[in-house]
Amino acid sequence: MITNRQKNFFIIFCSKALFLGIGYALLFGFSKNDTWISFILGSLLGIIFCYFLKTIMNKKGHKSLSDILKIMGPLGFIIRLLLIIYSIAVINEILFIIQIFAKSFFLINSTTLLIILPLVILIGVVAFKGYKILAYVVECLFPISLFFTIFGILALFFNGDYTNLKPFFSNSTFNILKSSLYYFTLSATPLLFLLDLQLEDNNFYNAYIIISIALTFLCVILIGVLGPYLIYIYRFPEYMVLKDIQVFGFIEKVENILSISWILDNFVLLCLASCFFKRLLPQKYNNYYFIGILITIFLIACFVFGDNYINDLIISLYFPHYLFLLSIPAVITIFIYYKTKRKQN
Amino acid sequence: MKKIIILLFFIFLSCSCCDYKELNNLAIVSGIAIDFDNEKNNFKITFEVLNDDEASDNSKNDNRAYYVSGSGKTVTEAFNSTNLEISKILYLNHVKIMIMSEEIATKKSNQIIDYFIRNPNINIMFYMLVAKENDAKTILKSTSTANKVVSESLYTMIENTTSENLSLKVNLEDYVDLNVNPMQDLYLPTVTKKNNKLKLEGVAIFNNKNELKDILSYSESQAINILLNKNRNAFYKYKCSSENGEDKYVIINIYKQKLKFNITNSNANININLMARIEENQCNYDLKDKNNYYKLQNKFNKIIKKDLDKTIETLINNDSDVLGINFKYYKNNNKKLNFKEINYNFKVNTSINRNGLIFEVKKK
Repeated sequence: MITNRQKNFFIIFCSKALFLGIGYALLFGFSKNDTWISFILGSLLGIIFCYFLKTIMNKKGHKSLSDILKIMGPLGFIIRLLLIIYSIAVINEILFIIQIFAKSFFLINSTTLLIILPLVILIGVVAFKGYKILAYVVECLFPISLFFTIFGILALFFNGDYTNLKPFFSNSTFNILKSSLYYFTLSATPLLFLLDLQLEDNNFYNAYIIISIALTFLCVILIGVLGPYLIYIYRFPEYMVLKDIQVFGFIEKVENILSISWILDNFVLLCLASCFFKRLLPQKYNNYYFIGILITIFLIACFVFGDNYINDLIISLYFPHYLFLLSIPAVITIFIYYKTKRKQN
Repeated sequence: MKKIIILLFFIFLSCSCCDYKELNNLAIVSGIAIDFDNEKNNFKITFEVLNDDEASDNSKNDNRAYYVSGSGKTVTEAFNSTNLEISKILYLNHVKIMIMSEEIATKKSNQIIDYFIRNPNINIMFYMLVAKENDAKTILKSTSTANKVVSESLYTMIENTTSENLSLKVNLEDYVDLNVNPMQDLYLPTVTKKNNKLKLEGVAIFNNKNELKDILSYSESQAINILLNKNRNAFYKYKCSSENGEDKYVIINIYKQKLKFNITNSNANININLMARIEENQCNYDLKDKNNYYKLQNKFNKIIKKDLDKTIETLINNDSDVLGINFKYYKNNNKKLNFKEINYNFKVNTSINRNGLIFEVKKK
């Protein structure tokens, strides 16, 4: 059983993780200095999604998601397939982003294989250990992530020129709405990995609202510090902004330490996705399937997507589309299934 | 046993050995000078590399830095050709200063930006300068007893806030921001070599096409510092009397300012509140009398306003919106404006609130 605190930590890590390298860079490209408006609109959609998740969790009771999908028959099989592809997409994308991030700033000459291999081994180990061990790990990582995030926000807050947010609504409404959907997809849909957990309390709202406020606040700071033109030039604006930190004139060049917070977010989502995906695989030969798929993901991340900028471009631009198309039908179908089932009863 | 194997695996894989470099094998670059050779159509790049040889510890060897140069048709070629002259691995994360020739700053800035901002091995927080009346290379190689490492000396001069300082701090990120912003023009500090000594000069201003238009005078640079809210020490003097052909002055130092821009489609009303201290009182004003403060404040308000008006005129004549008037108007109104077509009204309010450690010097 996952405690309420552990569940909140999971939500915070999951909602923030996909903003490194994809979320901010993509959204700033579309709606520029109006991105914060997209964040607010996207959060509202996210809250609705949390309602769906909460309802499903309440109805599901102590059953695992795999059992529910089995009961649902052929429909369950399709949903299971969608969710497995969703998990693989998330794992692949995070591995890909981490290797690009590491190769851009920390391990410039290291091979992709050496960057990804330890991560793949680690997520493999965590997937075999299960959710409970991961929850303990998350409890340990959360204070570190929280400290780095708060330090970064406080250090940057006074560097910003917040007139850069103006003029409001200067970008096209279509782009703002598109960004809102992207925000919703990147922040809320990873929460469906929590569907398989046995939670003490099924309330998703509080933690999601808190992390949405934090992400919006961070977005405002990014626009304030980098300005409306620099924000969409950088591949990793959320990292580049940390270079501007100078506290009391002597605490500077701390971007590498503070960016650990982003790596931790990605690590937690990676582990959660791998646990989720392992449990959705058929029970028979489960371990073999899992190891086989993990090795395939590793090879794809290394040799198909690694060091290939065109693939990076395709993935970054269309990644939210895949996530949306895979997750939303799955969650809505389970939701409708429960609603109709109640009526039948 | 399984755990030990996994642990060993991690120990060998997670130590990033591929990026391991010995400090002794690094050529730590502290300054970069970029010139353009018009005849050969080449970029010329010079690095100031910190000398870490054991010989530098010897008192006979005063060279704390050495210089390597290279050239090429593109910035990359020039960098690579420079790299060939060094036996060590070039390390660009400790660059403190980059000096550009006027030619580079005017015509080739886009190529410079693209190379530097794209390259993950370069620290982007170094200061940018334009070499005035000299090649960038000449400036970078102007070592003397006082300036053993020129880039470090220039960095200290820019950072220095205790003395009169006209230079604006413009790092690569600011430079890129000003370059890509279509509604604010670029400005850069300048450096020159006079009598074999390095000196920070006025502010170089650029137009909307990123062409260097002018280098501002001392008073105009002071005014720009105030208007950009980046002033640290501006000195203004008021001629209070003239005795036996000798002029006497009251000099104030403006150490802080607050600005408020109110821009409409026909006017820019700029309220400037300045905090000042008296540096010199040659006319022996009685500084216990509050009326003298009021009188001095009014005098200085007029002097500063005159300087600001002159500076704005220079900016308009050079078609250089370094103050970002167009950008400020756009932010508030979501409409475009031509900064040259509006009237500028300055309201200067100088507050002399520090007079030093004494009231007056009694003369016999």
